[in-house]
Amino acid sequence: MSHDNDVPIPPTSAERHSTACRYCIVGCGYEVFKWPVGEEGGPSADQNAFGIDFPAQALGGNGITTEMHTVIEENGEEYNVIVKPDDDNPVNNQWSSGDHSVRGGSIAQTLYSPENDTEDRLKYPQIRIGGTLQPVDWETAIEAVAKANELAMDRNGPNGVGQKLYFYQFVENTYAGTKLHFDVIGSPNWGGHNRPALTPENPGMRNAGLWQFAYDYEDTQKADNVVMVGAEFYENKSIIFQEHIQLGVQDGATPVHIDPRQTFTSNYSQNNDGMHLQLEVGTDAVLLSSVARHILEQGWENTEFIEEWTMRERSTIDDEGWYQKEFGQTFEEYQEAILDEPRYKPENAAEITGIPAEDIRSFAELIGKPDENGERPNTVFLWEKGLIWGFSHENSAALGNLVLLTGSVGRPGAGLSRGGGHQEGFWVGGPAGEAIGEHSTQTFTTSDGEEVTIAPDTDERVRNGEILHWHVIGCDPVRGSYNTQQLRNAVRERTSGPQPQSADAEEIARAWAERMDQGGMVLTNQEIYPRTTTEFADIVLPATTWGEESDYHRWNGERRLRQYSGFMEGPGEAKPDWEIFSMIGQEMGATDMDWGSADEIFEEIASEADHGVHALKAIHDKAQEEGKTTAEKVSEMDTTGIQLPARLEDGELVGTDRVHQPDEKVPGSGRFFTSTGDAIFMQVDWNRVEDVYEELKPDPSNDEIWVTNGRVNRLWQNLYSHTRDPQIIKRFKQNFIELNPADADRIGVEAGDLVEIRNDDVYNMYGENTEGSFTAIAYVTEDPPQGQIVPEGTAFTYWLYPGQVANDIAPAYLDPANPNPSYKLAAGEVVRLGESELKEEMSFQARNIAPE
Amino acid sequence: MPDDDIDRARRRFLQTTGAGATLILAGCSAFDSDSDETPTDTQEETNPSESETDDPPESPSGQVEQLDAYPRVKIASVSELSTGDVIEFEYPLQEQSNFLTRLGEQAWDGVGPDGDIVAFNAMCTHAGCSVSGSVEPEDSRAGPCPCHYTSFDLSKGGLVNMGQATSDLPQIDLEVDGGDIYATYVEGLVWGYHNNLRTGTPIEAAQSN
Ligand code: SF4
Ligand code: FES
Repeated sequence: MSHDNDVPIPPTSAERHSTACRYCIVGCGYEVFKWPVGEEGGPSADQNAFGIDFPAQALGGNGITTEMHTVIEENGEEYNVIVKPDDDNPVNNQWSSGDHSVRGGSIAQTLYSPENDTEDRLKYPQIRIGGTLQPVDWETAIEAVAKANELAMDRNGPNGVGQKLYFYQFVENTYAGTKLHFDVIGSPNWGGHNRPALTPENPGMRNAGLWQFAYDYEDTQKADNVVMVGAEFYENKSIIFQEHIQLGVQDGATPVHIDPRQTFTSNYSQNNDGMHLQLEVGTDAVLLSSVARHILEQGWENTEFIEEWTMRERSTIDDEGWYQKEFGQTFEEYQEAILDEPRYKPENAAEITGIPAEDIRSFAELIGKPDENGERPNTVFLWEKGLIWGFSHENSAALGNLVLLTGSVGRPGAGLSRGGGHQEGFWVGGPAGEAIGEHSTQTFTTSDGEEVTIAPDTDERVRNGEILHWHVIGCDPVRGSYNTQQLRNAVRERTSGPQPQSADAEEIARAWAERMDQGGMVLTNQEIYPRTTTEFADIVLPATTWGEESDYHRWNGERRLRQYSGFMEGPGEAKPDWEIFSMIGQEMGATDMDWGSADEIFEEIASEADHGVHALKAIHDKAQEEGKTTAEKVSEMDTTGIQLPARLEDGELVGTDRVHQPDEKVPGSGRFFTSTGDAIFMQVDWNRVEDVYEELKPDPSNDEIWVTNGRVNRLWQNLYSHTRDPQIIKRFKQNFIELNPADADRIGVEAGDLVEIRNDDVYNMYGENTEGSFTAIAYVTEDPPQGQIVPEGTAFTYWLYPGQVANDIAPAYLDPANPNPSYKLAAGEVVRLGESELKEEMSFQARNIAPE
Repeated sequence: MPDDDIDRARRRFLQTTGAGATLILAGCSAFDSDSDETPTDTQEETNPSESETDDPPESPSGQVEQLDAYPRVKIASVSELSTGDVIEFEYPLQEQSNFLTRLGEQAWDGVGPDGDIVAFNAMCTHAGCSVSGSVEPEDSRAGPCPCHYTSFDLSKGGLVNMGQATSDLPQIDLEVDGGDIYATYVEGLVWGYHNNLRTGTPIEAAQSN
């Protein structure tokens, strides 16, 4: 065990496993060392597995911290495990070696171990019998899931079943899960962990032919400008910031941060001759379109690029699809719309966004104006949830348009990418389009009056009764959805009907059939820990996770595919997700889901993936040539992996540094991802959302302020692992809300008070507005050295804290054409409840102090 | 600017000891708690090679492999430490650099009449860079670290306020005895070491040089 003051050194005989971080999009390379307790290496280079002399050298990537070590138990034997960043891959080894964030540096503490606080991992399948979850055997549990599907489909066809699945937990699992859902069941009711429908996250870019992860991290080192919109890079994409962006800035790149908060990244940008455009919550589309307008007025647009690489004919755009027909524009249409909209005049935009007109113009000049030789600046445009979870079409379209207007894409130092959240491991294994096209009950009416079928908002279908069996895997929708207080109320009510009184299959079927007939629902929760959704579950299926048993694959924010080695067993009877899906599928009659391992699934995926931005077939073909499996081939590439799409050039396997290059390298696609290979400008019409915006805005007469939300540095997602790491969670033992002292004074709260955030009028586009509330510790900093992190009138809170759920006041506004929620646009009244016991314990120091 | 204040404070302190800008205070032995010598006096008078005569096992790099226990070492006097001062010292091994400071606000495990005197290891627990040049006593903060900008709250046990370090800055346990401040223990692993007492030369041994 790690004591506070020592860690064991791995001996030269320790097993080494290659992997990548279990957390964020950056996808730092990691290595795992495992060896029996009792053996220990020595402090000189020839005595240990790292090959270094201790003490380790600063920035050398080989220090072992107590958080990097744990002891696990397998078959009665104890093993030391060290999980540390790898010092030899291009992701986390540019400025320093083996760099890591606070999240990645503590992975070892999240391994299932008698020494960690991970003892409450789910270990046995359970069914709620007589109102209580009780352990059952796997056969009984799988039969029960299949029965719930059958009962739901008997009553409501495939629409009776809903699935809510992560997008990230490896291609093998998402492939198997979506195959079960779209192929075996054929249901359209599918939601991802972070949104309720199978929609593009950035519809205004995706439908324009732009890919959301199109760059190479090193582009930020080569850029003239690094523009970060609604994304806190230092805190949440830490190693992209530390190992890449920072190098670019040291080399003269201008950092620009566009965010309603004045965060570390804002101060860093300002301290490095850059800009912080601190806009009013929700007004991104106006700001970005105003920038576009100034570029157009000055004639700085990249005419050559626009002529060669954007769709110029209305009819071609119309032929592309209904979304493009509705929102796509030729350059001329776009130009006219932007210039005709008075709100996009910098002076008027200043009123709406709070950004002075001269700053709008300076930013436009920075990214738009060619130099005296006609050379155009190279800008990397980066964005994340602040942009995405606002008005998703308008925001993403407005930024995509700037990329096209400046032509800053597809060359070294120029491009676009989400900052990203989790890593990416989504592979659709069934006919999703068909299931949605044939069965979805949600439509959008175009301006021509055409009714088009769109991917359904499944969370609404849980509320409204369409879904009778909801299979929730590896995510916590009753915290992670919008308007979650109301969702929890609905789920509680719909699962509280008739309960089976024994584990007998017929009794289970009787009770659930009765419940469904009364408008109720059965809930299956496939998980690694009990979470809020588990409280309502009828069936609990325990799953294994990162590092356990299977070797898995996924990619990071520059599409770098790596193998995530399994190096330890899972707890109890837990099984890999792919195997659970396979058992359910086979129970329901599928004959093509009898995989023997995750490697087999990966082989199946790779053998067919011959086109698109995630093409893998070249790896498969090369592996075959060498007599290997695809998984073996990827394993050889260790933590460096390969950037997708993978291609064969002169028989050699190569990766692709960035997409959208003029000599397009993506198999089966043109430069941009449309039928012609040309990109499309997208309409940004503030009229489309203005009324909603006015309703969502805080009502000062009710003492409301914006209560926007997001990630913070040390807390990962919904804290499934971090509530179990005392070193990590001790910083925020409860949810917190950052308040400007002016607001705190007005409300009468001080740092360390427990407050409740209330909204009795949470917007609901589907019906009556509802109520929501959550509690948090007031975080107020007097006289911070580099400015207040939140402006007066805006508060910020953690988005997914267990039990103190910010989404309880998140509005039910989803874009009618592409149902993505506007999680960020929440408002509420902050009320003091009393003094928190954490008042003395918690630090309220400024969280935005950047180097000067 | 705060940096200038620190520099001024440091210069003031160094002038009083007559040492150069990079002065490092090595401690005196564990058994002279009644001594009232200044740190420089102590250095001169300490018996050189106690630890070497014990023939401790040597690591391949020729360093003394371990101390058996944390020594009790005088590092300063309360009276010579004003609010805002920052004093660097090594403990318990050479090159394990630490800083002693007086915050002006009560701190966890702070000593002295106001409970505001604290000491921490200076190696950032993220990747080992020194934060001793980024100590801001008036804000009770160390950081942002010059390497990846972690900042630590010195009033709360070196808690990671923000940034990439996973562990608190190791706090040095202090005792005040007869107006003198002694280091007695290190709470937490010093970055880069596998054990705070191993693979280095104890500071007593340094005094033989
Ligand atoms: S930056 Fe992301 S990938 Fe890298 S160590 Fe941190 S959490 Fe892991
Ligand atoms: S070494 Fe201090 S933050 Fe990295």
